[in-house]
Amino acid sequence: MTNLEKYSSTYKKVFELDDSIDVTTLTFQGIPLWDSIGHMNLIASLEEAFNVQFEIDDIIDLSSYEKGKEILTKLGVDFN
Amino acid sequence: MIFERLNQFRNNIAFIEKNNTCNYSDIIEYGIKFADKFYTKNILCLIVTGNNAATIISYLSAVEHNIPALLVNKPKKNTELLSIINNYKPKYIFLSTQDSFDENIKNITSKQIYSIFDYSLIETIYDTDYDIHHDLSILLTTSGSTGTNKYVRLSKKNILSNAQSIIQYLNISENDRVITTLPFSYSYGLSIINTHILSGASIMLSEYSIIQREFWQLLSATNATTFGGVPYTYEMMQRLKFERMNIPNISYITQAGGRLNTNLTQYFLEECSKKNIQFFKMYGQTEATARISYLEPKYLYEKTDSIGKAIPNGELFVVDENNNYLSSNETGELIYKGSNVCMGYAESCYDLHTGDENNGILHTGDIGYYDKDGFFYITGRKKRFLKVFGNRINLDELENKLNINGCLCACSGVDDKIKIYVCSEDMKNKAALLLKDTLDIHPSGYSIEIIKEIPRNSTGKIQYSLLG
Repeated sequence: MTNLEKYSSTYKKVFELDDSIDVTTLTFQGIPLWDSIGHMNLIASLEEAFNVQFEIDDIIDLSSYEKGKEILTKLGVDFN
Repeated sequence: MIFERLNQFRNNIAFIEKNNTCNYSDIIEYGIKFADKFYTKNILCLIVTGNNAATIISYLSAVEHNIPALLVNKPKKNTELLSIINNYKPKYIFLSTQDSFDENIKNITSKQIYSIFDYSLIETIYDTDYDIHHDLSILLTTSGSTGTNKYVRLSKKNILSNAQSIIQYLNISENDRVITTLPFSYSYGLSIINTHILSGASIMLSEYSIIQREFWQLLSATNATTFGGVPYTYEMMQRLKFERMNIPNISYITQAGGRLNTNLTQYFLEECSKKNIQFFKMYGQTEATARISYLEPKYLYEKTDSIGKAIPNGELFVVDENNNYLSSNETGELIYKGSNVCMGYAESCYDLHTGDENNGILHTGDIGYYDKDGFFYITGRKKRFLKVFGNRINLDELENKLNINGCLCACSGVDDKIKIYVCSEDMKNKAALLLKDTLDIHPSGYSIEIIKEIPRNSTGKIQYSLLG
């Protein structure tokens, strides 16, 4: 599995989404499950999947699928 | 009565919302206009709340002018609102203008009365074929979730006396600046609004979560001095590395809405003391308007797991099954006595005629004891309910609801994690669907497990101790 696949599947798993949903458009509070509780679940799952530790700025900035990719890239995850 | 008090603070800022400010004189002005629209004051008004000036002013006006009001946070779906409306038949509804255009709402609207900001007051088609007791002021949900029709009946005396006790022990003054973290239709959120309004303080209204940058930006831009949170708020703050936060203007923070575990309490005890922030652990129930007890910060270290002592003008004691008073270190049910104890419950508009059924005495349903120094501790619960992300869930009610809808199950679990036991894949799917619709709680707060058989004793009662 590529990092990008792993990244997308984390969103699907945490937010219980099927393949009909385009995960790349997801934003905080854009779907019912991505509320503050869902957000903390997402953070924990991403930290585990990529073996990284988010800082407070990362956690409060991770407001969309795209933003999350930028943050992980900064932490050394290669999406290419 | 309330407005007279607010008049002393005429020129103070009451609310900061987005980039607008609202003075105490505005509350009085708009509040009087709101009440003037009622052809009679003895009719029920449903207020669909948000953390905004429009709905808080309408609430304050209702309390001031003896207009009974049911407060409910804007639900995710308008169908949930309809179930409450059908059950309570409010003559007036105050809701966002956008929601008033909803087809379902239009069907029950007889006329539009007036609009203020982006809110509207509408009159409904319902006949008021029910009476309302003259002491009834506010109806609040017991669980904080919208999936129930059970509401707590509160009088004006309840609201004012609880606010006064809290103002006294938290020492709230007009110099305080609180930022909202909870919906104001939730008893804890409401108590924060009440206490600060009655003190002439300023309230920064936001619906941001503490995990959003905007929340912390607003907190620092407005020099907030305090905020409150349920246990989950504190868990998130620890994850956000509270120890590294630079929040020099915060002078105290409060915690209620469920038990904060020992580790988290110790963490906040230490970090707050480094930051020179006072940390108040508090205990209460919607049935007591909000607060029952609090732990003075200076005792946090010594009495970490205690819920503290009764609030000013309240009394806590412990009784056995026969209602005999127990001495220190003896375990029994916690009983609270005070003028903030609610009048009783309502499950529909036909319960609103009832007067005070409690006479200031509340059987909390919590089991505990007090130590030799008079500090109270909770060790268990009499009734089967859990706190899930600050909301109270009655397991028997939940189980019933699922059973009635054809899902055979047993509900159990611990705080923040309800467990639903079913016996087949089929039932699991059914439960998942029902829970999504009936339980207004994040799915990570519950899980469904398939077991071979639900354990029962010879009389058919479910043996919860044998589950999980």
